[in-house]
Amino acid sequence: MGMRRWMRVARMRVRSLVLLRRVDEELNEELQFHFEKKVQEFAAQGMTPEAARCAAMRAMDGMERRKEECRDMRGVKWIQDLVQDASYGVRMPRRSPGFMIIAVLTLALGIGANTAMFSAVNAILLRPLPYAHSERLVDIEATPMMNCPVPDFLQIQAKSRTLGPMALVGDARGQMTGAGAPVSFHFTDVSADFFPMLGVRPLYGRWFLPSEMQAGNEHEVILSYKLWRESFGSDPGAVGRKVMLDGASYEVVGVMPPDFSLPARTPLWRPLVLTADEMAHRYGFSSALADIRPGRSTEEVQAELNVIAAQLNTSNPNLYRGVRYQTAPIKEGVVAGARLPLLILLGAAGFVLLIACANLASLSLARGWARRPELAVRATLGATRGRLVRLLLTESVVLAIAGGIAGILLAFWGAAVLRQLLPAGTPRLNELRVDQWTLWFALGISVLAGLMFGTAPALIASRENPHEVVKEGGARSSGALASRRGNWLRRVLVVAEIALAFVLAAGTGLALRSLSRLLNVDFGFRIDHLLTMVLPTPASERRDPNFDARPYSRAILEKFGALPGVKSVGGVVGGIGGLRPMHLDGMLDPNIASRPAIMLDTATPKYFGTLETPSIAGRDFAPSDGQNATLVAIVNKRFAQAYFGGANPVGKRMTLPAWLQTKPEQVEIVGEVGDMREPRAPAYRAWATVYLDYFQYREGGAVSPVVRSIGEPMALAGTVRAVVASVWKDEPVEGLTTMEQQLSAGTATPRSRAMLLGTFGALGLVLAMVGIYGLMSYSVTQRTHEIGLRMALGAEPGDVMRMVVGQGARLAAAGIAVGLGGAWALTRYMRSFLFGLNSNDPLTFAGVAILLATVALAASYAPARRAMRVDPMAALRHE
Amino acid sequence: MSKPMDFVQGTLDLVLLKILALEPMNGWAIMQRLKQVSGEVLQVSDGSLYPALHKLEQQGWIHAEWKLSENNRRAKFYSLTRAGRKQLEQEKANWERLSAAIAQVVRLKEA
Repeated sequence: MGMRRWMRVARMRVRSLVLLRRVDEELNEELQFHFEKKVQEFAAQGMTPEAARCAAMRAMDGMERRKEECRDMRGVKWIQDLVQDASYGVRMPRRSPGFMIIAVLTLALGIGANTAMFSAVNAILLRPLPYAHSERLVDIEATPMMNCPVPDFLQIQAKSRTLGPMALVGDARGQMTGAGAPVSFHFTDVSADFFPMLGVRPLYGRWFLPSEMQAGNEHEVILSYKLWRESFGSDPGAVGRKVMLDGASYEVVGVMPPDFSLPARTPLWRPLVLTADEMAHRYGFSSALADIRPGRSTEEVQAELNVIAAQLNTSNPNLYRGVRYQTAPIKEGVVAGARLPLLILLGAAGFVLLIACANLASLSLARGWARRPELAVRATLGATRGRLVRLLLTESVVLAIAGGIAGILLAFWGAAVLRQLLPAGTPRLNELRVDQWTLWFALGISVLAGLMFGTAPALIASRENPHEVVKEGGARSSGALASRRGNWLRRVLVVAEIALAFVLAAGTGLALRSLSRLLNVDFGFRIDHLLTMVLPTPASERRDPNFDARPYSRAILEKFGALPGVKSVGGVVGGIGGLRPMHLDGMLDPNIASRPAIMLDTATPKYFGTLETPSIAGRDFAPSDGQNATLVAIVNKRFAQAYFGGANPVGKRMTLPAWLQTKPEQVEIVGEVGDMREPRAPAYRAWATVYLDYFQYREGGAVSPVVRSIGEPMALAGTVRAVVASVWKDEPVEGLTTMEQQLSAGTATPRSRAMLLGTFGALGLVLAMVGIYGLMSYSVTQRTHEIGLRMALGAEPGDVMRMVVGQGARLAAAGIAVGLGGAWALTRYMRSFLFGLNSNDPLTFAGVAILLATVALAASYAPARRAMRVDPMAALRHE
Repeated sequence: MSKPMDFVQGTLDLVLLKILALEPMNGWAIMQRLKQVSGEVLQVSDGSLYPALHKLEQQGWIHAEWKLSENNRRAKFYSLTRAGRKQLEQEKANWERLSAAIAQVVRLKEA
């Protein structure tokens, strides 16, 4: 198209839109001119003026239709129609307020739930991490080691041409003193490129200087926002202060902003300076970040890493046999665990919206039926079917956008609720907010929802033959095509709603049942009135190979036992209430490798008594054991089952493995106790466990005391800290909490998931119930005449009741059957979140089926009652 | 008088463009001219002319302006634009090709 012509066309379109009235007046004038000429022509042929006008009118063949055809030529007609239909849609509430309120509320719930969930998905899964060009940052992982050892890192750094700066991130553990109470934690050692690569500026202070990255100069730390708040009271003067890490002095040079948490939840960062020995041999846990060079693809990086791995495999097969390197976007490492639960919740919200749409489609069908006279008049006046469909669809979309706006308001609140309700361990929770993408999403699903629930009703309502309707004068007609199609569609919609609600309810049911199993686990000891804590050995003493914490432990336990309000005291290292467990395999006999892994814990006398773990055979540890030549052990039931076939193990002997750093020693079993489940282990696993006597076996570390209180356990907290401080200077008391709190912290995640899923499940159920009620109620109204006839012919009210409820029951049965299939297919995605039950748990499914059947029958009951009370005479006369 | 012939699909545009190429005209005059030059063979019903004219105007082939008609009444006069003249040449060429082809077919001798 030539430029001039294009300009001309554009000018015409704009003129048609902006000067609409003027353009229309010109059209009138143009046709009027023609008309008058025509009249003159006929008059000249000798007609009377009156006859000439009539003849001219006929010759013009319907002036209005011609005008409409001319308007259609303007190319902007659709815009004008849209504005007209939309304004018609906006005026709709005045005509049917009830329909509008129900529709907007239903949509607001559906769209609000989805928008809020999307704000979480967007903030956590979709938005790039808040680092400089974070899309280019990758983790490098060496398999089979599952991390990136230092020598491998150095090899890759030296050889790679596709990777830019690389940073080594090492895990460290230590104790910090000099700021608030002593704390010990895992923290992070980072190499020089770490902060510049991520590009996040500190809130206060600065990054490490290159000079601070050299051996002997690494005396600086950078604090996380959380540690700064908790241990430094959010004091901006923290920069420059000195803290002690494992007895060495460090200066705080920076505080990072709250959003910066890499690796997740690390409290502080320290320069990583490698010794020559570490460069060659450090295989402890460390990971590697790398910045892909601009213009290089991940495939190129992977190809290069494959080459490097192959070279190392050949040049040093002893060290690198079978080693492979892989990259993963760093976002993957941060959010991978949160993906499935979030997507499940988003899916659940999506189901709620689908149910809402099904309800609205059903409502619109009924309204389309009621509006037949209006539509028929429009059709008679020249509206084409396409034009009617557009009118009805525009109304639906306007309605959906109104619902969407209400939904967005709900979503702002919903996002705030989600920040509280999503499990506390969810990454990037503090970044969750309703941003512009969320608003676009809300707008998008609103329009989509409008089209979804509006299309079928619009097609059906516009199919009606206008002459039929006008002839009827708007009265009911029982056999019209549209009515039958509409009813068929409404039934399909209700079946779909029940099926969707079934899947939602099944997911909720599984989550709730799993939660109830978690809450009712028998741990094998008494949960209440139990105070637990961990006493990490101070760093200075940990470095001394001859240090023995046992005298401190003994003194602390004795003083605890003497406190008023304390019923009993024991201690353990390893298992319950203790530190990270040790795994031992095949310690007794090489032939039993297939038996369960063994935990080796040490415990003090009265430990089992304090926990109230049942004793099955033999005796407790005794103070006198210390003098015995052979080590004594107590085993649990699971161990006895696995290694002694359930026979009484008391008196049996076994050998400790050599690497336990004592000379291989014989151990004599003196007792058997019940199994205890580990409250912090995934799925509360119970292990086959061997307990040695803490005071007899040289453990090194301090014991973790467990205190059975008479009153509220936390009331003892202050006294307990004071006792420890009096016995052992600078010894931190960590994890001071009750067993009940520990357990409820452990169930917080499944609890929050069940709650969110339950919210969506309940919403879906209510909406489905409204849908069934709407259909049954409408169908009774439509069939009033038929019901009256039946009753006049002798049907009892009971028969009518059965007929209506029977219809509801058939729909429910169909919906439940479809839902069962859907749930069967979908609940398996929940498998990893379920405790102690299968994702196709038959009991849950049966319960949900009964629930939905009940809901469906309850929803058809009220319309059925109404049907029963139909007065046959009135119903027939009404015709 | 035999029945006036319907327009072959798309040829109304060609005819309108050709008539307007002669001189700017209003709708009524176009109709009169059409009857006159075609010996009353080609006729359009009184109303159907206007949607066609509006379409051509929207496509930028013709331009409309209000002028006084012979008896001093305001009327909408259409004239060909430059793009319209090009379009006319093209449609004329198309038509000539098509009519020549059809004439060839029709004149085939039957065996």
